[in-house]
Amino acid sequence: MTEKIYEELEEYSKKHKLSSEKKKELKKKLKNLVDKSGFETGEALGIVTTQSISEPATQMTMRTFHIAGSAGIQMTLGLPRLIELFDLRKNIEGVSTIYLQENSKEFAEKIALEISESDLGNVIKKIDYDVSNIQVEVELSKKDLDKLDLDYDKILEIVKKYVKKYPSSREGNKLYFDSVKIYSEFRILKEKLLNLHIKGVKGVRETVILNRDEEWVIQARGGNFKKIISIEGIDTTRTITTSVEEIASVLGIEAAREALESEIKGTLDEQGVDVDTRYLGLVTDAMAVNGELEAISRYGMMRKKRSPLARMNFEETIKILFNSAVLNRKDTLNTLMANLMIGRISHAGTGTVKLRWKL
Amino acid sequence: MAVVDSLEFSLLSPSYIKKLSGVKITRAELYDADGYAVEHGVVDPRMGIVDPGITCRTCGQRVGDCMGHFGRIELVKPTMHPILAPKLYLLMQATCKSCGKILVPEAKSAKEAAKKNVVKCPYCGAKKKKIKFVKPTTFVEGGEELTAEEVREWMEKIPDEDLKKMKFRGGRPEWAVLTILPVPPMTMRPSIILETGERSEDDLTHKIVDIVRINERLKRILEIGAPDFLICDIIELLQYHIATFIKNDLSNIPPARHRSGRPLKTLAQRIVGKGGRFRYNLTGKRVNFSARSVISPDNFISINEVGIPKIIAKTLTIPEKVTEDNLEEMQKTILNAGEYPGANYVIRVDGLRKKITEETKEMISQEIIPNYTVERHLKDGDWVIFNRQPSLHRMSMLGHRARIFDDRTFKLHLSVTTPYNADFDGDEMNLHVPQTEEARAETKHLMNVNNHIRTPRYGLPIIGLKQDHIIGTYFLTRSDTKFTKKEVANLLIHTDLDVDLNKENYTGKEIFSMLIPKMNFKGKTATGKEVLIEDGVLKKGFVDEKLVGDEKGELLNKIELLYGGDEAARFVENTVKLCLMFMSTDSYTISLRDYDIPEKVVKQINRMITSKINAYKKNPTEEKQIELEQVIKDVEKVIKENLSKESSARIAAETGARGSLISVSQIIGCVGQEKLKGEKITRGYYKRTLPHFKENEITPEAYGFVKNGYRKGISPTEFFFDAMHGREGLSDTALKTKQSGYLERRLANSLHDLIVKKGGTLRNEGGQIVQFTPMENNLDPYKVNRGRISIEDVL
Repeated sequence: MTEKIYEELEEYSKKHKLSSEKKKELKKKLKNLVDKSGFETGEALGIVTTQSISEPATQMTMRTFHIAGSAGIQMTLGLPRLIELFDLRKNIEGVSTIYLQENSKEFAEKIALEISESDLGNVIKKIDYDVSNIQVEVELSKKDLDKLDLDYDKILEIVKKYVKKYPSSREGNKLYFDSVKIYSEFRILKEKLLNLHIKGVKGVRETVILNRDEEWVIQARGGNFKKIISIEGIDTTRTITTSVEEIASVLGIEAAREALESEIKGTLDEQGVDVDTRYLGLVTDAMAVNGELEAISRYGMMRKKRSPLARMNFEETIKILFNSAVLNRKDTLNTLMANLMIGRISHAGTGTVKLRWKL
Repeated sequence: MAVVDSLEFSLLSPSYIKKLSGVKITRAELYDADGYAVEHGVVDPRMGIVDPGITCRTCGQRVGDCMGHFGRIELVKPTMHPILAPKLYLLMQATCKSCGKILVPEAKSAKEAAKKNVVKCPYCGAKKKKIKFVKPTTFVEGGEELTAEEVREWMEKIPDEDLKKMKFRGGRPEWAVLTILPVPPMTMRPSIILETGERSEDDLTHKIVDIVRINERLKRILEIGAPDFLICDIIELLQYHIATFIKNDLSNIPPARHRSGRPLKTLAQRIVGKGGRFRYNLTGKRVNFSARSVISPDNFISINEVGIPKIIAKTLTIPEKVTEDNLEEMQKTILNAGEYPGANYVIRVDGLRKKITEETKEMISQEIIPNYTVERHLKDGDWVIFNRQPSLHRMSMLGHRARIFDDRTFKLHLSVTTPYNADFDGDEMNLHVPQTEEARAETKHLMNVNNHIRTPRYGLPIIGLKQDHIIGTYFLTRSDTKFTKKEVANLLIHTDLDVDLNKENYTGKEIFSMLIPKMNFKGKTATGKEVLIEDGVLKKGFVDEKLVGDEKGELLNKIELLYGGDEAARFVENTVKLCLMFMSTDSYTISLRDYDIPEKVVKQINRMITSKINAYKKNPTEEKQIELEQVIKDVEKVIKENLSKESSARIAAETGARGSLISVSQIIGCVGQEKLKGEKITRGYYKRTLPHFKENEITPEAYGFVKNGYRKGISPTEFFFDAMHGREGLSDTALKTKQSGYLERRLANSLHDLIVKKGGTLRNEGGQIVQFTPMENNLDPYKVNRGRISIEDVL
């Protein structure tokens, strides 16, 4: 950091043709400023961070909204999103933003088609059960098939692969399944056929093509980031999802921490809340310090706390009290909370030092 | 004095409970016919005293000093502890009933051993039966219910080394089957005397009475040899009472109730939750030397002063040690007892506290010698802590200097309302008087308002000028503002400036320049006009919110950076005073006329709106809807072009003093699309939002688009939609406070141990490093804007 400032100084002095004396003076002033702007020992940064994040959180909206004028997929925003992120809530449908190697609308459309999930149900016009021939007749829609860039034979191939119980055949735009003996069997088959995955990435329910700053990107709801990122033609270095959980499993802890930080920052920025970004870095660092992300909750960071008193003060008092008794836990009073409860001065701020002369 | 070094948690052994207790409780009665507590009864006086006037029979101390003493109930039959029972269940699954040894010798935990489902004990060969646990205290082994006695016998068999393997370290497991029940001291369950003279006992006492009664009945019944089923019933009842005595909201059993039907609050419930021992008593402490009152504004005190009513100053005191130097002064204050700068108490060298009254003041003033402490009234200049709830950040509690006024409210400088988020519509604030030298020093140096002008949240001043003051600086520094020497003298009368007025005429910029310390500054106003300050002289541009406003204030930011908080505070105070004097020489008001625009423009705006509405009607697509919602931006543009530059509303908005141009265009132009949950309004009646519309009507008006402005007035249906939107906002805030409060609690509890340790690393309570350089570059946002230093800062 300091080097950067001095570099800036060099540049400035070159530009304004400063005398070496003036430059020296400025350098001294800068050094002074840097020196006195550091953190002091004992600074309770955790608390300051908490306050810096949660004080503006009271001003955020509850709404999960979709800003008028901007297209794209609706996402959870505002306070609910912030809480979701700090909770590291699992199984949230992520929205992937997919960057492409080739910047054209046609290419984006092609990739989007490849990504968006289609079931056989999407191309089926009609399903009938012919009782006399114990045969099921499926009528396909040519129009829908063309949209997906598929043909009848391809469909038959897929169907043959997944439906082995009943021999299938094709005639024109119709598929036939033989020896479907009773109606209940037909119902099961119908269900299976309608949900048969024929194209795209499983789980991607919706895709939108956007032009963002002169660049065509695809937004896809419903994650499966692992599959998406392995599709050819995608800029894997920039493609990202809003699901921190998926990033953690695909790209690892460092990427997940970074993603979490940028998601929190994005949520705050969208609400017009002004918070120093480095606080978000601090929180996410604290959440990631043990090698996997820990939530800001009783299941995450609080569980890792060493002080039984601090944990009891938070939640599940009785449970922790009795567990501590059975495990013969000791509270060595290293936390602010435990010291506060006992009535000692905590080891933060002015509590880090002792007065030699008792007043 | 002994200092607590650590706390260890473990189980209480029966022998320890016996040692701990002072009295054996055997009688269920409380008081005898004469109203005295029964010996060996549930309120035996040896368990501590709660009524004044008597001394404790165990320790001989008085009320307040006697902490109380435990009693004990020796249970006739062992009884399960309801919370520890699940722990025993695990042990029972993992060990052999006949020899007590662990079934899987290599297992590392009870859970691991229990999972293996071993059928035969590897040591004694006994068959392992399946154990079932029925909440909360019953165990069933192969269809047969185990008595607590049997469980206890089993637990006794488990060898210590196997317990270690199973991580049961807090004592012997058989202690979880109670044989002796500790009875909490009276101080923990005081009985209160109602106005009627009746005694009302604590919930715990009621529960203990139940336990003793059943225990004694069980003893009798065993002695006379009653039938088994009767004994079983009584044992079960005893188990119920003990379980609910410990925890009264166990699943599967009904809670014990008071006569009135209210569930009793027993041991566990006293500890947990917001009102429990931990959160209510241990982490939240009540204080003395505090005051609370309504706040009102006063711009002629410093930002780090607080006006305090004399009545409060006479109650809140500061302990001052008598020395040879201040002896006389102290005698004088003592003699003035009852009047304002007096004193309330004197503390003798031996610690005895004496009240100063009209009668005793002469005597006490003669008595005091050095090393006495005099508790004198609060005086001007004393450091106090001022606070407004909710205390969302550290700037919600700041150090102020006292200023005593003969008034009834706390007085507060307007500029310091931002950090407190206070206004004067009836807000109340709290005041605390630090009582020790250390606390006073911390208040003066660490909490001083002047040292908190910059917020650590984003590194810009949070204290600055507001509303009127910003309009004041704007008009003052506009190029057309000129003054004569006499006028200047009048304007500067309240500031602390010491300048020679050697010119006959001054411009506003020149006057403002007198307040700026020597510095260079380059910046832009909120409207993007350039501002230039060279060597402390405002050369170009005018001053508005962007330069001196609260939560922004770039000029203020630089003054703080270069000259420190005291100088920045002085700048704020002087500017406020100057602006107020200046504004009182002229008039500034907002009336309907400030929203006048030419008829032609009104028509133009209306045309713009109707064209967008018609476009949507013709082709009701998503895009057209978005275009329609965007129309307010176009309206704003038109209004910006056509509204008079001298319109007060416009000046207020553009200088950042109050309001925005969007509000102005909502007044003059149109309110725009009303939304619920971020969508246009679609809910209401069958196929329509209101009965005023046709079913399936597709006009924007039918879905909450308000085409009128507030100035012209909105139609009844539009008013209804507007109210819907407004109501959503209200319920939103109500919900939001709850959620964000909980988020804050979680964040605070998770992060409070992250502290910058010696050596400059950020560590958690275990000493684990979280960040090697705190906040990435070791630049405190509280000291420098956003932790960024640039050359601009030192030029």
